[in-house]
Amino acid sequence: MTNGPALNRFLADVEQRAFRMARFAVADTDEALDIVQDAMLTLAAKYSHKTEAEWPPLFFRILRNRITDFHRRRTIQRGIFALFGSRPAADDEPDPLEQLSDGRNAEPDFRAQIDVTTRRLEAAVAALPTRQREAFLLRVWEGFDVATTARAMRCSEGSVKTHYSRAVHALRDQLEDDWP
Amino acid sequence: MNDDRHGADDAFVAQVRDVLDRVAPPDEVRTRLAAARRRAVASLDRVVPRAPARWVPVGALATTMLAVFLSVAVQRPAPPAIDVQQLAAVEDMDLLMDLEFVAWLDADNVDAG
Repeated sequence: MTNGPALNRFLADVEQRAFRMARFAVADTDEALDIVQDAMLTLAAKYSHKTEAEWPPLFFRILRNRITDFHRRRTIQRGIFALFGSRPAADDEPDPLEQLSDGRNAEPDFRAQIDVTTRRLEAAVAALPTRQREAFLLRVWEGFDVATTARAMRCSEGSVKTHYSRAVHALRDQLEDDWP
Repeated sequence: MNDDRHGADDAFVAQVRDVLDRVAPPDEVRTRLAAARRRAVASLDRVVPRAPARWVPVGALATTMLAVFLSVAVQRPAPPAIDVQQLAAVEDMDLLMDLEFVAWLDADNVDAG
């Protein structure tokens, strides 16, 4: 298949950012890896015939959908556990903020690399409402313009601008002690 | 004022980007990501290439057959209409009389009201 090298380049470029976006959203390394792998396979299976310019918004839309599926499954599981009067998973699940701001539960290598400022930033990004976080990371980290972000998020350009603006101000409010 | 704010936002965003870029996932994660990528790229060999042209004759034939069937069905003469009164006269006189009685009673009530 002629698209193989191009797809390999594209995925190699986005995979680490995609993983961290997924990890922000699900706060679990293994789940994030599964989500990214699933997004990669889906892109290859369904959209490899598209032009390379179309891949970025498609890939991140797939990633979003997988993250949404994860949260739906998690909600259903919690509902079932609540129905039977027990929540075995809830106590075991790490709190995303706690996990990000406290190195005790996280991977030692990963935590050792990052300083306090970075940890605070990650915690603040993880604490953003989902849509704000998506708009912020796609615009800032992926470098998508407003139109491409809107396609990836399946919303209007106006919504992207609103989510992005709120995210920037929320992060500034939370991090103003660390950064000018 | 507004320009200052936008400038400050831009500087802040650039700083955020730098910090986010600074940290790479651990080696194990990077290895697993690379493996997942290789699987995705390898799966391209199993993707069946889209060949819509191969199915065009089949679709055209099916459409033609459906059109012929429908045209024959439409042109078929309709079954003769059933003469309800004649049928009722032969089949069920009691029912017809009941119906006529109800109709008369109804009309009588209307006139009375």
